Amino acid sequence: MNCEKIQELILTDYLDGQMPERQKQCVEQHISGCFRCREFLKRARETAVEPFTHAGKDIPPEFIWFRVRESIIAEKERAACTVPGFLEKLKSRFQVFSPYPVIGMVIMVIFIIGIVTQSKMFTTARVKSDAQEQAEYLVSMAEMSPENSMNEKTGFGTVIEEYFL
Amino acid sequence: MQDITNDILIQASKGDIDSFELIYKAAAGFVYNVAFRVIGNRQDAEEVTQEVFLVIYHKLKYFRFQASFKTWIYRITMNRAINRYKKNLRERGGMVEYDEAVCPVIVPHEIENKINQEQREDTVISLLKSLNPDQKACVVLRNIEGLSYQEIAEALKININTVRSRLKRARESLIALGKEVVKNEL
Repeated sequence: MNCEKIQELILTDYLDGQMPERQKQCVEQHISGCFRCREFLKRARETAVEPFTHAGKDIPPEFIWFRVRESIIAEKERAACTVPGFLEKLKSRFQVFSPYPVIGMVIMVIFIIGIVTQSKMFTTARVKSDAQEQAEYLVSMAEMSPENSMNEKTGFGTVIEEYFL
Repeated sequence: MQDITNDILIQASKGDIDSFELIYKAAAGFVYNVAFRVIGNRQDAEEVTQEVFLVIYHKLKYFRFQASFKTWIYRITMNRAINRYKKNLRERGGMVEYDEAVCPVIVPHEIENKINQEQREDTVISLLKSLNPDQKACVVLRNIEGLSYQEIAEALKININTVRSRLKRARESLIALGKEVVKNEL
């Protein structure tokens, strides 16, 4: 193994003791005969590993647990409020009257009455207009009768016309 | 975490708050510290810890017992912490505020070590600050929490070789940073 490969192993598996014994012996054999890799190992230990071995560990403040506990209890209480109790279940089972269907029914009835009234008015108006039209037609027919047409001053005054009339 | 038996997990998944408190006591320390190391801000780490435990409480019923419970918690914590870090980065225009060093409880006869301890903490914070969130997650889980490559891969849902390459790049950056510091000191 060359120095580059050895230094790569130093930075990972060798420094962390994650290397199989056989490979470890191989790396140590190289280091013992290579000043550059020995210096690299020393520097890597001093700057990248040892500073962290003395890192202090803090104790988490007690209030964190109280907050966690409070949140859990509050959540449980909320959940308990949303689940109906025995009385609520009983009430909902026997509850027959509800205002919403009644309101719906009333709206429906008003709507139907409205439609029926409208259609009746329309029919009456139509009958009236039909009767009026018929009357007008009869009047016009009466006006067009032969007696009337004889009296008409307008005409062509031809022999054929006189013959037929 | 060894104290957390399957019975405790089952009871907690059914909503038993006392069992859940046992889980909290066993896991809160590493959840909080991992969140703090990734985000670099104590207040956000507290909020993330709270969020993580609420997620654990809700998702516990879906937890498969074949997987490691500790790895599962690390996964939730890392997801939340990295998301919070990225959110902070977006909101503050690429600048993240880092808190002072962690201050462990110090007994009187150790006061003389306090300065050294603070210096070491400052070093840890500045080193982590130089890494991107993915590299930081690997370094925190490996060097501070002591997880194996396989556990890191499971916690971050990545390939084991990705863990290797992220650690390699992170350490290359840290060595380069170390050289820079030495140059500046000279």
